Amino acid sequence: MASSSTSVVVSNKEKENKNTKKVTLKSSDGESFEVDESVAMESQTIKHIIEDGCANNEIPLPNVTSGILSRVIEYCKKHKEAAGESEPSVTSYTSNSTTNPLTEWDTEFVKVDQNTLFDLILAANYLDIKGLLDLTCKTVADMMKGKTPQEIRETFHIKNDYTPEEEAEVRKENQWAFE
Amino acid sequence: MGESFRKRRKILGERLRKRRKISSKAWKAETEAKYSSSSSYSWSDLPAELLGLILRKVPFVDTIRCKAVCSSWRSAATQSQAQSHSIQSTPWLMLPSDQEGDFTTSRFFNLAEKKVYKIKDVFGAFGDDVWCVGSCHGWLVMLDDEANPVIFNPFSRVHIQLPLIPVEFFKPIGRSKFAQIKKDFVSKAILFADPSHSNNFGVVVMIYGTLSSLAFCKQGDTTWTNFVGENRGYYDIICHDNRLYALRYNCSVEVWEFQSALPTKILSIEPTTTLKHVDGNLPRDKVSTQLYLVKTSSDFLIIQRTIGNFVNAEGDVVDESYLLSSSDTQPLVCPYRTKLFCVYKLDLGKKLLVKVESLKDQVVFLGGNQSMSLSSHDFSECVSNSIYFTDDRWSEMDVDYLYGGHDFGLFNLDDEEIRPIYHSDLEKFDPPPFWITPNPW
Repeated sequence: MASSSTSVVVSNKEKENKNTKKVTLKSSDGESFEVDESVAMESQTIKHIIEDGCANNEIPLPNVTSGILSRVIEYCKKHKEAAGESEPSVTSYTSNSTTNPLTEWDTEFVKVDQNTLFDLILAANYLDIKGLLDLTCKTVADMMKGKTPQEIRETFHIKNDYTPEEEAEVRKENQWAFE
Repeated sequence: MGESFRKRRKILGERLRKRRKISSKAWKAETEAKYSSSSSYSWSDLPAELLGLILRKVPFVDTIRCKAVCSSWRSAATQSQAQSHSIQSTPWLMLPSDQEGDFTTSRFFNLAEKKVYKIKDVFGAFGDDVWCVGSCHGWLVMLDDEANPVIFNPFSRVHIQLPLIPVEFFKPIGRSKFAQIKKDFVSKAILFADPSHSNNFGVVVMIYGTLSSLAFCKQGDTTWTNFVGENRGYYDIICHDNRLYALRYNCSVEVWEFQSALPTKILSIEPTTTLKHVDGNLPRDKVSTQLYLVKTSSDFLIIQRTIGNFVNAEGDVVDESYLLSSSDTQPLVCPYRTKLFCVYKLDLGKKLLVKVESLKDQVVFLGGNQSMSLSSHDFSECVSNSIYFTDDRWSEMDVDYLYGGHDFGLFNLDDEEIRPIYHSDLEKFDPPPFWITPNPW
């Protein structure tokens, strides 16, 4: 009985060792994150760095803070898991829940404050992670629907830099949409 | 140590920038925007390319409002407009004005918002009597006052003149007489490509004349040319993969290619099964049928539309004599109405037509537009397994001053019921409604 349980443990560990190639990502505020290489390669940016042979010790990501990086890694891990061993991950964002099994998880993932959402967009763009970029952009796009320009400004804390004449001119271009 | 770290970061940054083909300026703006800390963010400072990405996921009418938010958003929106990309959205329903005597305002009903937008003087440039014969890629194919064809985008207000329809097509009547009967002349016209960015519409194909023949004109042509062969009996045309798929009266589908000067027929599928005539309370002599060809994400469908020629207030299909049967001095008003749609899948390999009971998530839009389908997964405002249809009975438009253009609605395959899409007191819609997918670029 003892031998059989050992063999189970050994085979699990073997499986783990197969994908154990790890890489360290360093955030702008100096925190290090060790992740599986396959997960890190969800980012095309990181993938190119690794393929170029520049990932010696760790990959510095000066444009991403630790708070955001940990979330991005969480996203990549979840999506890599869902995609299985296939490469690259094909679960790009779609609201069609019959083709994207992670729709619910994705929806929860982007329930964050605006600051974080903004940072996630920039990080997804810098790291070139298409699924995350699509997801975050779509989330912001949905926040713009059905709102007047003033409501959009209030939602996103944007200052109106138009003079009254300029604003009237913009509205005049497509007057019907503002009525 | 710190020095080599910074140096390596700079080298890697340069490599990334070049690999992703971003200009140094844009790269610098991007990295600087977030280099400091996340507390000093501002959405108006979001790099233009990212704002462009977001705006592409925003519905058409909302992008117009976004331009009025602030100047950086306006320039980002304009920039992304200039780039070529296909916008997918549910079609809007283009309607005439509901005000008596107002012939210049057009209304556009947006399914997503259940809201009507009024735009003044959309078709002013083409005269009072302009007539629409096609709608695809957000462009309308129209015949102006003099029955000259033109393609027109009502949102960007851009128009492209097409060659005159040759005199031979409508012999023996002269051109001025032709302008009077133009409404019944072209049953449908489609464009192969969206001319928004390149001004190139590819090919325009139309079904015309009493024999329902096909004619085309390519970008750069100075006239229209007939198709070769029998050239008659066409019911519907669609463009798919840069080829023309033409549906004929016997449910055969021809596939034509336009690589050489004249179109070549590369395939003709004649199904061995035929459509069953609808039975029950839709007797053959009191109904008309129309056929449509549409490509969904997975299949080619042939859709049969059954229209009761005279339908009374209770919804029963009646005989013309019924109109005079009442004791009133006036004949009863029994407009034609669509009663039923039957959907068949065309099995190209086995050359069979198979009746389809459910469109599943697909939603079909039919009428004078190029027949199209969308998935209700992508557009929650659409009822799945449904057909949204408009009136394309051009010959009946002016028969009665009390109705015409009114036969539009929503047919659901689950319960085979027809429901209104848009509530209106009017019964006459002149010009008749059209589906149009807004294309603002």
